[in-house]
Amino acid sequence: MLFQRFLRPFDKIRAAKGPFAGLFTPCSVDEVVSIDCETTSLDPQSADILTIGAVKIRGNQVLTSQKLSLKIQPPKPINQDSIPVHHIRNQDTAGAMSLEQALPILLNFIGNRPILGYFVKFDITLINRYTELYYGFHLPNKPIELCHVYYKKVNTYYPDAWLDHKFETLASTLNVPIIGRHSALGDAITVALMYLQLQQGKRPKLM
Amino acid sequence: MAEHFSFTHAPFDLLTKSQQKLFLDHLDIVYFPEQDHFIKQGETASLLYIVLKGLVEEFSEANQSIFAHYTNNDFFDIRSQFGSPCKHDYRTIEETICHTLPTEVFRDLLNSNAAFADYFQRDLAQKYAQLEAREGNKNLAEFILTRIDDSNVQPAMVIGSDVSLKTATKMMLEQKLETLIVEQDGLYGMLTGTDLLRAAVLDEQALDSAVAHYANYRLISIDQGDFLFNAMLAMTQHQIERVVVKNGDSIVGIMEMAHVLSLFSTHSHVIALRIARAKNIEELKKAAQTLNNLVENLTNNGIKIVFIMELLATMNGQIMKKLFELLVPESVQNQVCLMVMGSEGRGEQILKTDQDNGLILGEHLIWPEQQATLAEFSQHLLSFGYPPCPGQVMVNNPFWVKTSNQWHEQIEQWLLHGQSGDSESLMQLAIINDAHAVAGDKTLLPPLKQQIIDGCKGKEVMLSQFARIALQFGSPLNFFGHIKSNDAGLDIKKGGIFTIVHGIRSLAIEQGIATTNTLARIRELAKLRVLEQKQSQDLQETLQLFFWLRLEQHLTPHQQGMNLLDITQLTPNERDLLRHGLHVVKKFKSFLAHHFMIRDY
Repeated sequence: MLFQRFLRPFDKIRAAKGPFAGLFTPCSVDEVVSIDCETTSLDPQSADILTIGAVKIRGNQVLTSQKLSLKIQPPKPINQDSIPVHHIRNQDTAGAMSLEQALPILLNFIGNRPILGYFVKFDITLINRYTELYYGFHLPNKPIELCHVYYKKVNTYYPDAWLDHKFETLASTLNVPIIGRHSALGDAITVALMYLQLQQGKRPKLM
Repeated sequence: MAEHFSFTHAPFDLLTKSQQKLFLDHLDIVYFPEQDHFIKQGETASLLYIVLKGLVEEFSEANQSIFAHYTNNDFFDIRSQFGSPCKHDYRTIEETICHTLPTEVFRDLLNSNAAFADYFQRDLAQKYAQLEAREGNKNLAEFILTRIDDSNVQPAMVIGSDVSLKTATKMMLEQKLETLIVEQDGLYGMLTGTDLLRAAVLDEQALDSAVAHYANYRLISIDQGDFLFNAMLAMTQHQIERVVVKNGDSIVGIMEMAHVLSLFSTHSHVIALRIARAKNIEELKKAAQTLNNLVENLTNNGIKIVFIMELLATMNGQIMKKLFELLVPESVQNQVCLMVMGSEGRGEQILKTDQDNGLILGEHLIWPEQQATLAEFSQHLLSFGYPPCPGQVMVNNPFWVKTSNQWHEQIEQWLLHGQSGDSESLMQLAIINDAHAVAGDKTLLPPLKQQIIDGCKGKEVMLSQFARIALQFGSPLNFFGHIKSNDAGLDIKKGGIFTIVHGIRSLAIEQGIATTNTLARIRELAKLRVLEQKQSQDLQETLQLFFWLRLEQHLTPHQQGMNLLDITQLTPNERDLLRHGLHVVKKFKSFLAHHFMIRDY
């Protein structure tokens, strides 16, 4: 792993020949992509992606009209423990696309925009596992961690407060409606709304 | 997967699956911070907004007025979706998240789905119909609110008192008048056809004798410029057919009931006449039962609540009086005083409410059938549709029937107990303080009320105890200033009406104000500078709004609790007014607490 980290600067050279060279250009538009994946487990090294939801944020708008919601066929049957969380049964994955098909759609959607997420590192690590496998590079996009944005905004005023970073707590503190919890797209939209609130709204009051 | 837009509520549930997909494919979400003025008047709309969460206000920056509030699942601005520029400005009151749909897509959906289009058209049509209805009703409302002027007054013909019967009759026929005004030494009298007949036929006066003796000099007059409604009220109250219209001291004309009635399309006077002419209880009962219809009519016609309350107070008073006269022997009538209390005493009931009444007996009264007659009285009122008072404040309860001296003793006792903070006694004082005499010897009541005012003067501790009762119910507003109501609805009486009425009552006692009507008391208090001008206006408007909301709720058929208000039934506009009103109440409470030095309420 450590070794791979030193190879990252070479990703750009490697991708330059491929279809994803655009990912390595500087971000030109004032847009952010909010992303969320539903997976078979919580270990990014072994989990399989079941659905990917992504939505663009521009200005004060969440562009749900340009959303991305991909169903992925996992390579092995879904672990029974995770089904109650994401509500995707094995039979629901019938007719879904393979990750190899989904990945180009996702990468084109993201482009060179920063990636926003709730515990975004998990999602990026997951995706990187596959981009490494198929294209030989990791996502170069700037990650934006919702919890950090939240922490920064709140912590300045409540330096000693113990902050609860639970998804539901965040949403209710920021007064944002939760849209379809534990569906990838729903979570992505909710995160996008929380991000907009943090960017443009008042500092939330801690109860 | 659960979609991020719910198609379960109207009108979006009318869309077909493919239309829903089109809808979703173009739907964005937009976030606005607080106080964001995001649509300006005159802009061309490109988006239809559907509120997901938050509160948006439609207002006009130019003339500082507010038109509507939009909250979860409301959408705007429909009018501007069809190309016309936005009529008003829109801003967020709280942080708001809206779904946005491009106007072109919305129009496509309207074109491809007739039912969906119909919904909006009907919605619009309904709104216009409401507007038009309001305009149409203006006729009636305007009529009642019309002031008396030359156009609706019949000219008066003034003759000298020495004119002969024959000449007078001739003049009437020639001028096609029904009445003449007779002047005698600066005094004016009214002479009608009936008077002339009486003189000529019954008294067999010579045709050349003077009319002076036959004119009626006790004239009920009304000022020019007063409301037509008040002329009507005066006639109803005095059971007469004509009033004289005066401008200062000079008579300018006559106003006849028949003339007014021909304009008045509601039947208030018809009912009043029926009450007045009822010869027995059965007839009176029939008249009383039509009262509720009258109120409903007036409300539907957009008559102001204050006028309705005033009219109703008069009507109810007449019914009580008539019943009293029918039941109680004449010799007893002028030795006792029938008083109504509670909302009736204040002239604030909007429908037939509980019978709150009591009796003051003269000192030298001998009335053996007293108990039986009074029981009968309450029984008849019950059959007229006046429910019994839950606190038994009724004449069939001997506690509320006392001689003058007994009343004085009783009030003395209540005052004494009230000083030690007995809330029961304080409430009794409040009840009797609002009493209003309707029949019998009305002079018996004022001394009692004066006793209360005198007894409370300077007793700050007691007044504070008294006022504290007004603060016992919390305002139904939550931490963020939104309306709080449980599933059953909002108790508008506890949440607003009682607080204002009792708070004002406390202030009125403190200041020694004799009127019983809360609105009149507020005006008096403003005159005395106890309340600020702005505050008094706010309170008056709020109270009227609450009464109106309450009436509206009472008139809707599917309604169980008497005072519970179903918030969900209100339009966004009404909800907003209510919210504003509750804030006024909240402010008033802190004013009371400060004024009477009440801590920890």
